[in-house]
Amino acid sequence: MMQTWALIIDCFREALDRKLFWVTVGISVLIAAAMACISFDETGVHVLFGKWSHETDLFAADNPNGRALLGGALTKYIGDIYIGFVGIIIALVATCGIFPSLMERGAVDVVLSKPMSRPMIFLGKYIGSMVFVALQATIFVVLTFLVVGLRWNYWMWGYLWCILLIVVLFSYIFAFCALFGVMTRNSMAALLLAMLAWFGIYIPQGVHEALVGFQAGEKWIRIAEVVKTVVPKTTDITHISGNLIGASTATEVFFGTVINSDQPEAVTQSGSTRQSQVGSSSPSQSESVFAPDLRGAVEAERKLADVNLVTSIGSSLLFEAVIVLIAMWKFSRRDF
Amino acid sequence: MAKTENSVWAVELRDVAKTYGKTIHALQGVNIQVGRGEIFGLLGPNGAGKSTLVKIMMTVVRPDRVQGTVLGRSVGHRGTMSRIGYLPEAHRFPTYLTGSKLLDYYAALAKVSRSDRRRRAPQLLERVGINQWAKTKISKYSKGMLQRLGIAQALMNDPDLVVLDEPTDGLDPIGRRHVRELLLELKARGKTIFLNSHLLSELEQVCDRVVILIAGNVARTGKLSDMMRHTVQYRITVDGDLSSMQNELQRLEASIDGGAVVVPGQDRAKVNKIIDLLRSRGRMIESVAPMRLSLEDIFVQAMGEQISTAEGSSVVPVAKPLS
Repeated sequence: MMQTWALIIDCFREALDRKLFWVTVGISVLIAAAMACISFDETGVHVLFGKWSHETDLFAADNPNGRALLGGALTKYIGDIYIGFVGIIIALVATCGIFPSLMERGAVDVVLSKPMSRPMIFLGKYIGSMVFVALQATIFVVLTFLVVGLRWNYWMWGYLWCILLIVVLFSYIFAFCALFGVMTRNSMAALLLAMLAWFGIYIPQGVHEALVGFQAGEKWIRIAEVVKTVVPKTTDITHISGNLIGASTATEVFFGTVINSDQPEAVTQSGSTRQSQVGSSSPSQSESVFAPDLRGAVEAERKLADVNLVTSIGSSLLFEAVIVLIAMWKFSRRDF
Repeated sequence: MAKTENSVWAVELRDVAKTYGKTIHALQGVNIQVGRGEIFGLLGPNGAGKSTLVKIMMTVVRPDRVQGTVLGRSVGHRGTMSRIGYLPEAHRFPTYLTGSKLLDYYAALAKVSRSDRRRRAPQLLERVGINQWAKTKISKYSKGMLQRLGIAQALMNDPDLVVLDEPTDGLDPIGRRHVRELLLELKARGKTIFLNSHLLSELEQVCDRVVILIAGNVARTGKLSDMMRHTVQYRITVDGDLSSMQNELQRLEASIDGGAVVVPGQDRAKVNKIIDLLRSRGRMIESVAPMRLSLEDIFVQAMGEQISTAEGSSVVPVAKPLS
């Protein structure tokens, strides 16, 4: 335990030395500050502490639809862009050198001469990277959680799960980074190849989302689902985070409306019968103009978001475990 | 099979072999023995397999085959590794750490308790002469300071066996002397020291036993004192010209080297006979010095044998006076 802790602390120090930790802290503070400039209450939306206001009860946290839209705004936009993409890239940049620097000639010799097995050394460094990213995620999520609670009047406790989800998402990609780091002993190569792998595992997910979005045939969607099942499901993470806080879809947030599916039947544009109805807080606002077009898109988004948390994360972690085992095996068998 | 802790050998390796790829035979069945409490020197030209041998001991390189023990346990036994201190050649320490944090980190990996780490770190930094730099980041250290820090790092776990690869690399003459003193101090405390160095004169000053590796094979091994005792010659310094006596001296198997007569071997009767001859020819004897081959000479000789085996030539070593 003493040895593992020493490796974790060392990972932390190394990543801190790259200064990117402070960059992410800075970005987190900036995002939180930008969010704090906007506040929502039952009277409307207020920008720059009331300098500009728009009267609407769409985003009022005292009703379910308002909460869904606030959650959607947070997870589908900020979550998708920062947590699911920019934040992960910064975390990868900060940690991509962990294994190459461990394996530098002259550095690895001392570590390997200690009474620790190679798999334990590998795992210590791997866990250390996760802990580092967990801290980054905690800072971002807690800051934004506080802003949402204090300025948007919505204490979104389920949002705190995002800390774990960010670490899980990062771990999917970092497994590749570790493997390529062990294989190439080069930080830049490890980073670029890991991002390539990230893009590679996005393809089956992107294809699946496109097929669902365009309402392709069930057969094709089923095939895409099977392919998607094998790879780490990075896009599921934002769906899961949205589900955990009951967020609305991105389309609903964008158009400022919530389509309730538990209302009596309504006929969609395509003519098929769906259990849905436009149920905006201000019904006159969008129902007649947007409802027929939105319903299909919202239904598709909801279908995509209908993710089984255990299956999605479980199968993804299984894939990650295989990659980690290959990396660990390569590290253990290598001469230095 | 692991031997008992009571073995007289701290390191006893047999039939160590390592091939890189399919063609580079770094070690071809090397056998070495290092006695407990002695300073052992590993010599050899570049590419002889010295570093590979050290790295196999330290589990950095995986051997094709190896038998024997280190501190009474099989090579690579994890528990035993906590009793070994290691300074690699051309080490690269994490530059984001300070001197004291580096010692703490590596000692923690060696399973040294927190209280021992806190106690030993300042002591060792003081011992190697960089205590005032303890809180400074390593990135600001000079090469010599890094080497001193590396030696301190190797001693943090109070090891029974200290393996040092080029320990005086980057050190100035004072630093080298400090390291020699430290090695002798460790030896006096019963520690076994395994040295790999190119600086033969330094090894000569501290080593009890040496092995010379050439092309992955042991060319010479044994106690340094034994190796040197067998290579004595005498040098008779004479005042006066010797050229006219060349033939007479050659008949007595002596040779002329400037103003001196060199008599190979340890035959004191022959030396006296030559002195009588020189005196009878009116030459003044200035000094008679017993000579020995330096470790460097032995090394060159071993190399020469290797070359002559390969090419049919020989390298003649030059003796130096006994100190």
